[in-house]
Amino acid sequence: MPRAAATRDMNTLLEPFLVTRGDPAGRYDLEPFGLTVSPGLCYEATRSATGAVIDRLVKLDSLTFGPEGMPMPRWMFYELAAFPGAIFGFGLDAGVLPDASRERLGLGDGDRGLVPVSMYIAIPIMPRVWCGHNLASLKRVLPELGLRRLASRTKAFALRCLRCEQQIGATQWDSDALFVHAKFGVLELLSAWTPAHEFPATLTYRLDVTEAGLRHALGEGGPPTAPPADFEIDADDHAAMRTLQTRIEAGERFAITGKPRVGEGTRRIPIARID
Amino acid sequence: MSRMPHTPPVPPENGREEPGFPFFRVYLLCTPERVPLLPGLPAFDPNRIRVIDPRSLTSDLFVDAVNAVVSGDPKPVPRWALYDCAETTGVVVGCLDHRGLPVSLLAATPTTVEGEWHTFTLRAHDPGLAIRTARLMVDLTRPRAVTAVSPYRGGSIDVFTMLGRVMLVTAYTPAHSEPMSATIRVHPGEERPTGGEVLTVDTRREEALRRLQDEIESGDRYDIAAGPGIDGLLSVEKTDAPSRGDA
Ligand SMILES: CC(C)(COP(=O)(O)OP(=O)(O)OC[C@H]1O[C@@H](n2cnc3c(N)ncnc32)[C@H](O)[C@@H]1OP(=O)(O)O)[C@@H](O)C(=O)NCCC(=O)NCCS
Repeated sequence: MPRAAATRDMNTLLEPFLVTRGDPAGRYDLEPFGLTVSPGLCYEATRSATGAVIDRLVKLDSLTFGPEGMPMPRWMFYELAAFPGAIFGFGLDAGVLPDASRERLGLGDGDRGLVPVSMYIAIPIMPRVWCGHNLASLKRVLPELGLRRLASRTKAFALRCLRCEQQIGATQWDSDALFVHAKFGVLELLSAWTPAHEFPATLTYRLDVTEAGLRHALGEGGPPTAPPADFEIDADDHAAMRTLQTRIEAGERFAITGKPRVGEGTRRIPIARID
Repeated sequence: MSRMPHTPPVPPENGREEPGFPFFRVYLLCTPERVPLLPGLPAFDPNRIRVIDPRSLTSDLFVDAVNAVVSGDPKPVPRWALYDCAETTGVVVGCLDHRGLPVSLLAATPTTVEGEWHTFTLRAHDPGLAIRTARLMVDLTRPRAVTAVSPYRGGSIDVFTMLGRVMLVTAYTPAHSEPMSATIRVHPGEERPTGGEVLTVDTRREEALRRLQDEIESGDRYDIAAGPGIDGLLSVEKTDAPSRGDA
């Protein structure tokens, strides 16, 4: 028998989860922005039962990063995510998912429990400084669920939960994720052209996490203050990225000041020189 | 001008080598922000260690050579993963050959436990080089503890037992792509306490590993007394003794 169509607002049914090692109480904020991460949804990375949770996160990753050509090998979910750091995300109970979603997620009739629809993976660099290396959201893959601002909310809740004060990340200049990251505030460029990465057209950024930035990502309040842009980088202009990188290595400092500006077939990222 | 005859380096017969092993040149791939946070680095002879910034444009050929060390793996660690999860967050270290090319590799990243580093992707063409590479990482980071995941077959548990006391964090690991792997926590320089009950576990039998994992999940703690040999038999010893690294 077909399940009930998604008549309820799925956004109100999202439940936060956390996969990490050790007791998260005290180390992490388990009531980020007043939302409780219930103990039953805090999974201990080293327990056997967590293998099933990882299976679902692998599926989420393959539906989002797979098409981007950067799927994450399964061992990394343990070794370079939950074990040294944390995976925070939102999920929906399998029982509320409409058939179309269940099918796309590869869920069988007997599959129950929380089905992750978003995740943010971060590993620590030093206390309160984290490297966010995976942000994935099924908002566009499962449009029938009507999920809103899913990646933005996931990252905002995750940074708050992890008590992150500074975040480092690497992303491609032409990635849609830049629209999300830019909501959080000024992104200082640590690299603009990165041959050490799989895709050299990758930028590495540093974000000082602020209340204003988190609130803006949640849809509350305007964008955090940013200096005016001095110029723009076209998301396809590799020569400009290399030039910018050379200037960074010579000691100049630059930052992305806002979301990409989309034109007809173009995408330009606003950049300011900073002190 | 007289030329000195070339004398091949002879490793010391006993005891530890000096940090940076005068007989090998080594490399360290990490960000400039990480460099001052490596307590062991000042003890290294600057002529023997090549420090590379992965974000620098000039690093590309060297990074290619580092990635070449893993390229023969059946499923090599993706280049982006080394960048995101070691070069950006921690370190990649290894030894160099006479041409200055990397011949071994160990990636390491700090964990949420203070002073603990998680190591992954240990690659070296012989066990001696693997041990040197693991020691190099310890000499540079001076960790309270080092963690690693090692499949029982062809794994690197023995390499880590050379560093100090090795505790078993998981005996069976379904969250990993190879469930028949151990997660270990190494306490460098610490002696393994003895006197506990010794068990021999056949690591080729999933059921045996699951049983041991159940015991760990119900609170028992084990040290590894000897890694699995070719017969797959792992020797573990029950322990109550806390580690200095847990203090
Ligand atoms: C990129 C991704 C994380 C976005 O998830 P999401 O849930 O749709 O993101 P959100 O709704 O929170 O925010 C996306 C914002 O970007 C905007 N956006 C995204 N793509 C856009 C595009 N091509 N043109 C214009 N705006 C775009 C959206 O309009 C939205 O802005 P708004 O909130 O102001 O309306 C998701 O699509 C994904 O998982 N992609 C694959 C994996 C990936 O690339 N991850 C990032 C790696 S660092």
